[in-house]
Amino acid sequence: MAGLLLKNVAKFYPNGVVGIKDFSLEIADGEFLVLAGPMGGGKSTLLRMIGGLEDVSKGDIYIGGVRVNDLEPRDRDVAMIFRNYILYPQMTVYENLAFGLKLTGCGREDLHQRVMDTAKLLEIEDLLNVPSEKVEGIDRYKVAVGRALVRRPKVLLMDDPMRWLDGEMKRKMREGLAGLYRRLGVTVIYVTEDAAEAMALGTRLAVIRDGILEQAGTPQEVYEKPLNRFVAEYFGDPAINILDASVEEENGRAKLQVAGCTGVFSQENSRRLLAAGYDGREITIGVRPEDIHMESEWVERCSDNLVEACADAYEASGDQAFMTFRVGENRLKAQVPADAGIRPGDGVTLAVDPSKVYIFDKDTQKAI
Amino acid sequence: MISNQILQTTIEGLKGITRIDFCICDTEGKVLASTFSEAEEYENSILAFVDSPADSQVIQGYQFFKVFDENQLEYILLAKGSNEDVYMVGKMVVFQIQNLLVAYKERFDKDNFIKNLLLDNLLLVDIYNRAKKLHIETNVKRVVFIIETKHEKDGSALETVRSMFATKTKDFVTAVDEKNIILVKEVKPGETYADLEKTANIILDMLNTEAMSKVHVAFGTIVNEIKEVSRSYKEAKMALDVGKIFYSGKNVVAYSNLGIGRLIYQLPLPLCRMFIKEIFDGKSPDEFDEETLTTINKFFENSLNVSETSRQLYIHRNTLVYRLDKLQKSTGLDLRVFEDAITFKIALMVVKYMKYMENMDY
Repeated sequence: MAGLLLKNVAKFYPNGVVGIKDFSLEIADGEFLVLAGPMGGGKSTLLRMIGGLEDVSKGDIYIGGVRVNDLEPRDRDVAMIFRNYILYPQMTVYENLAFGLKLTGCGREDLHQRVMDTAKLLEIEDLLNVPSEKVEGIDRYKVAVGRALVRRPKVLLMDDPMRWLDGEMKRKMREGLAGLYRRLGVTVIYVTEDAAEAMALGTRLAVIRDGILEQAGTPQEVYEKPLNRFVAEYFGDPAINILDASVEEENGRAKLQVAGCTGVFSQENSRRLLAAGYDGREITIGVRPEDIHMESEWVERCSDNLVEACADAYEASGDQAFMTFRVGENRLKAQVPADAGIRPGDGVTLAVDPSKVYIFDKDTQKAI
Repeated sequence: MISNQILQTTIEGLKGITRIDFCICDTEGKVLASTFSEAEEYENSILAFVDSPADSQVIQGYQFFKVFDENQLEYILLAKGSNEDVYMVGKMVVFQIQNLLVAYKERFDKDNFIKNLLLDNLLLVDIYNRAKKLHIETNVKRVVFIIETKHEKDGSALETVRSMFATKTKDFVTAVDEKNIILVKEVKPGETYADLEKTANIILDMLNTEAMSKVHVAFGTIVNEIKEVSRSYKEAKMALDVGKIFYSGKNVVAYSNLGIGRLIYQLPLPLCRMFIKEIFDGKSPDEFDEETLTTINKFFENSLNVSETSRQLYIHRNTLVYRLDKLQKSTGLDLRVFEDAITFKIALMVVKYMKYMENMDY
């Protein structure tokens, strides 16, 4: 195991394109860090830089306290798992696991021990003598992971390894990987575009867009305290509702005008907005679907933040459902009980919990 | 010659089945592969056995066998034990090694043939004659992949690619120089360029994972006949070069996706210099500062869309317009106009190409 330190790391391509911009982050020993963000944002580039497969244009990368910028990939004590993998067709599972180690010149006894230990860890001991062509489904994936683990790396780098897996298989593998991480105790850096996957796996997330670190924090932190509109929109399915709003001060408290309705901000948001001089200015607000309510107790509790809306579309999802409402020209998506009995066209009073309203500057899109 | 590793793997496998220890030595008594540790002690006995007319002999509790390759003594095999069973197993092992020699030679012949085919060293009639002799089908679709490794003679990378493809007898893995591994792959019916791109990505990811090598993969177009394989090879080679110049962020490059870069790559340098002189009046368009370059690249990336570009650059629309105006003043080209934008794009690519070629000259 080893911690990592990325210090002002940057990647410039010869054509002037900047892949990674001044990226700094410390990753603790044994942490499961997920690099999350949209495609083309630089996540894989950063991972490949850590692994030594891409040159570092600027800055320093330390693994276990050692600067590794100039070290070859095989000398960095890392192992990598990518999204594309196959098993060597003519080999057994044992030989597949041993292949990479053989290339490094590992001694016979050590190699055997490592293969056996890895197989035990992945619970594939029964498959060791099976030709790889007969290995299917999740076991194939385990063998591919095993080929990386058998190296006993300090850091495991995973580049969107579940990208090509379908729903059920992905769910199983996600559970398997979480369990494996607990057993291994190794530092893992995992790349994914899938926000739900990032939330489920990571002990900490680093959100990257256009080569810039947008936010780093625990899954709960990035979900509940997004530093900007992008992070707020990236996590959550369905996505957060984003609306333009204006701020007006009334009796020392910031009031909100949105979609023809008037509401109040929470004490904390009100204080922030007025202190930062947003009185009379336009801002952007965000409300997650689960924070919009139609139950009578919520309507009573949030009597200052009620919205008259018209039900538009209904999406069932097990015991919960999502309803899209029309509020003037805006659309709001809310999580409603499956048995709420609302039909498209019905008029509904919605209550918004003011403590769950996110506020962003309209130009910079940063959280206020 | 068969590698010692293969000999070792063979006798270990056979020991696993028969529970008999084996050792293979060369004709000078040097141990090449062994499943027991004291094999070196038999050097003198081996030398005496080499000189003797016997094909097999029991010496100091070991059965000694001679392994011939076309009547030429190649190896001495030692099998531990002196009974009949050991003798029979020993004979079978000798047979196995002789077959390995034959298979190796056939592969070597095929390897030679493929190398010469790629390098256009064969007459058309020879291509078909030799292909027939080597049982290589002539009328199947094939494509050539080139895998360029960062380090010369990257044995791990070659071994990995061989393990991925070589057992499929219709694919060939070879190398014509120190840094490039070449894969001549049969294209299955219905396989498309998207599938080939996936194969290239698998090669890349497997080499990154297993051999931990930095590699670039390029591939040519699909050819229908064996005589056209060299064309696919040349295309893959060009894709590798063009990729380095224009698509340096990409690790997989397909000849079929090279676009305008392929045309520029074939322009003579004097013509390029003339073009740049005419467009920029002697100035070099790549001498812009980082901010301008980022702006230009983002503007092209967003198909000349001012609003989207300013949004992605986190700048006000007017700031972007100001930057574009400034660029127009210095170059005479207005990037908001398609004609000027394409001229600018081509000029940037031409400059990149010229720089690459000039560096190559050194």
